[in-house]
Amino acid sequence: MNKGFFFTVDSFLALTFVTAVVLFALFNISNVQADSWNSIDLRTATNDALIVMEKSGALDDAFQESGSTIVTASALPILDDLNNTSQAYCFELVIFDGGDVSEPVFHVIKPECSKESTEFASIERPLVVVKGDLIKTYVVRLGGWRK
Amino acid sequence: MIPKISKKGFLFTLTVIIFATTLIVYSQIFLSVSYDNEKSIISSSAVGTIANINDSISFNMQKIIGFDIDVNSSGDLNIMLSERIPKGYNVLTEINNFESMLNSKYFARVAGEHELDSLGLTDGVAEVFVGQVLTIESDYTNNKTTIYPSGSNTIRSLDLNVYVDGANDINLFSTNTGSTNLTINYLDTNAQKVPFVYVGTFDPTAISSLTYYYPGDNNVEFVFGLTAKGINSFEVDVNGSIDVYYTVNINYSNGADYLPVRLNAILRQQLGYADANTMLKILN
Repeated sequence: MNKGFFFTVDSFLALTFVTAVVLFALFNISNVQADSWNSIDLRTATNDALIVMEKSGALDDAFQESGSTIVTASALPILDDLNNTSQAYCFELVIFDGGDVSEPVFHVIKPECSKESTEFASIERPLVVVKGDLIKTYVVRLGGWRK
Repeated sequence: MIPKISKKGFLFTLTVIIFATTLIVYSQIFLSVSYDNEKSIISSSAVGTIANINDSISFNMQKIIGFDIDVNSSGDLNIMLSERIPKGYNVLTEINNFESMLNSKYFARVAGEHELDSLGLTDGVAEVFVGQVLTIESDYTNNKTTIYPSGSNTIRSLDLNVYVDGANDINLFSTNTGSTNLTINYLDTNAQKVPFVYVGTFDPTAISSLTYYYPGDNNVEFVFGLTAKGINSFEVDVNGSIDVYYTVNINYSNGADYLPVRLNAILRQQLGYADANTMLKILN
């Protein structure tokens, strides 16, 4: 064997070792997530939007008295509140009957939004609607994502 | 033939190995610290989630009990209460239905463990506590609401607006005059009746009352000053099937910078590292 052969094998092993070390270090660094606060921001924005709709009465106005029962009415008050949210976010509102929470009774998506996102926040709140002598409970879910 | 070991080569190799090891260890430490930071960021949101669930349940429970309350306690203590008596539905049944829906359906859909105990509301009287200085009792079984102090707060002024859908027969108004301002506007929707308006004073340590009698043994009575709960109180008592809508603004002495307003029901919550065992919060 010549010196050149040993030198080449030696350098090859060294390069392989260094490459493996660097790749391993880069792999660890690539697993670091720097967007936790972004997730919190999305969740906070979704929660705030739902609270505003509830406290402003927009959710109540989505229902009306009809005879001896409460039924869904106009979505305009909710759409107004959704349109007043940040343009960076999209929202989808679903209201479920409190007696059977698998049954949606109301559904609206913020205009100019489509459900295409890898990150989604979902907030649920109970809702009591009182119309005259009638009273009914619901569960409201607001989903939010970035445009 | 064994080649000579180069001292320089040995030192260089050792340095590279130490460098590589250091690189691996630091990258792993960096990853571990980042995981911990992310975990603490996400777990910090648990406190907000707990507060939001309490707020939502309290807001909806107020709708069932049927009153709007506003409290301003900076300086004097101002209480504004709006209500309709009677409610038109069975309040006890609806409180129980709401609690059942929460415990059996809603809490299963949100993170954490939650449980509502509304025993304090289902005994026929719903209490609202303004700090430890004032209590508002809604006796929904007997269609009576009372506001009274727990301490030494005195009424400085009282403003009552009433709206009744009916034709009043007669009314009786008796007052012990004093130094506390009293304003009453009582409007009956029967257009032929003149609204009752009083602007004067009353003695908050004695009984003053306004009673409206309606056909069929229906009547509504407002008591100012001395009620069954003591002096410096206000009470409205509706008997029969008339609908009474009223708003009362009472100004009490001795406000405080911080008087939390709580509904007498307990919400037990546990989410991540946060847990709470608190009354339903109307105002913080």
